[in-house]
Amino acid sequence: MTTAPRAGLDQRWERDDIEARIVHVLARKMGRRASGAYSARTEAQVTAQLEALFAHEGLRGVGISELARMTGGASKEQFAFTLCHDGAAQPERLVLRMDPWMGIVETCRGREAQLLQAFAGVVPVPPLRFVDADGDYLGQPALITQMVAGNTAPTDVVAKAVTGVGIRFEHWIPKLAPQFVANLACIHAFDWRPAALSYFDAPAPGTRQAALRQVNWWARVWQQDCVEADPLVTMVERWLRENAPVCAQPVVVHGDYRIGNFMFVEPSGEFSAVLDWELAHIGDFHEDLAWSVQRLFGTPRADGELLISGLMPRNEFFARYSQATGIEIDLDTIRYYEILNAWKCIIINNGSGCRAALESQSHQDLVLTWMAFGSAVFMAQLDELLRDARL
Amino acid sequence: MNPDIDLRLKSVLKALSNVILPALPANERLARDQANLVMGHLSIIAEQWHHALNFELGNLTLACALATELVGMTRDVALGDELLAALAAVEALDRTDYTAVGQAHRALKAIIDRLIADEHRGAPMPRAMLAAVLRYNQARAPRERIWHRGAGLDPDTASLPPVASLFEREAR
Repeated sequence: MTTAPRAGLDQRWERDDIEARIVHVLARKMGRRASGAYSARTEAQVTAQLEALFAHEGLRGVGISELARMTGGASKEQFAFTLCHDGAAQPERLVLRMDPWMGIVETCRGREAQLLQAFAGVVPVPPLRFVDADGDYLGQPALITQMVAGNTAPTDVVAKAVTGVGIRFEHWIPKLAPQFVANLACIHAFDWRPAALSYFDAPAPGTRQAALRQVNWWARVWQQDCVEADPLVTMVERWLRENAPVCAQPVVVHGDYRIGNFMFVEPSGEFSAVLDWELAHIGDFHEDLAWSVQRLFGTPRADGELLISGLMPRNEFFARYSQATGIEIDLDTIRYYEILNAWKCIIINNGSGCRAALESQSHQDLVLTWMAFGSAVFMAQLDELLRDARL
Repeated sequence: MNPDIDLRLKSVLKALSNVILPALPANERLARDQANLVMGHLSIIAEQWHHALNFELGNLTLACALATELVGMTRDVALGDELLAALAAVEALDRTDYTAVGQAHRALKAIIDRLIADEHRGAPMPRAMLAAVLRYNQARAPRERIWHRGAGLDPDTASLPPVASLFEREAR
């Protein structure tokens, strides 16, 4: 599972060093590009496709009812439905998460499914029921999980939020903040080596491969999806290659650990699920920390202090993480991954999001063009970060 | 009186908020979400459209400043000549034509992009080049934040001035 960098090459410019499954899904996206406009699926289409999947799974007497489209997220089509079949003692409420032709990110449902299985019992995750990694039965790649109780935002705090950004936790913070840190610590402490993660290629420990693989992945996405050239994106790619840090011990990186991607139940405030594992990979733990502290995912407190993921000030987050893991955080590496993450977010928003809308390849082009407005925040963030970095 | 663009946008927004959105069933969540986003987009367009040409001209000016700096740094003669030709084309541009200004801006950035990507490959990026792109971004980022403030995605939205103030400031 670990792939060492090839000897004799300048690893920094080895652009093709990308995980094989990522190469596959990105190539698949390009193959669909000429398919024309994509429309939201109808309930009849989804029901028929689910019946085909369950027939393949060997279920008999299948009944699908109470199918309802879910909102939230900027990539996937999501539906809740109830499944009955002859072998089930009682109806089961499930969630279908399905790719459109193109979303704001192109990821792999097979990888997501493997992680949901691997992390069951480690941190709260939605139990996996079925996966169609290449869309053989559902027309497009998809996975199905059990419905999990809880919400991503408190029901008693009013706030305007898009894909989780803008949620306010207010009096729930004391209950949620410790769990936010504890679950991240559990994810990073997980021993991935014996786990069934065949869709993943781990970077070699003690090398710069963890960082450079991320640069290669997102540089490839920019190359494929760029709508309008941006000197900042190109310059930052060079900087990232020239300044990639060594990762001593690769861990599972969630990749999108932030506000909006965890659920909790009321009134206990107990986490019921860590969601959206689609960007997960094996890499440097600093990457997750740097993602969580991004300004766009923060919420200002009444006194003006920015709460990362709406939960706690940045320094408190780092201190709590170090206390929970016993791991010392390298602030230069944090800064590197903050730069990488801001760069990646511009690629996601201004590249893939705008490309999907331009080609009309998503069921919610409108959300994608809206998310692109957030890129200005990342541009400003890059300005600050690169000035502070040791140039 | 002919209904001008502002009046038409205002009327569309009123119809969406007072008639169409309330008529959508609560369980049609995608439709309701998208109707809200339509209203959001239209509100932003209403604030921006008067200034769209000025915003694009400002973008072009920033890209020209960067291109001018980079011309003096590049060792690639052909690419340098291409950049000079693009700068000359900007001089001859009809600055009242929104589409032409946008095209010139994008064309210029595409050449700049190639120059940054190709220059001194294999060696560290020259500090002067990096500093030039940072200066460009330092001027661009605040404009972009103000231009897109209507989306409310910026954690500091409340501290950002109205879109119109951006051009009042630049005119001074």
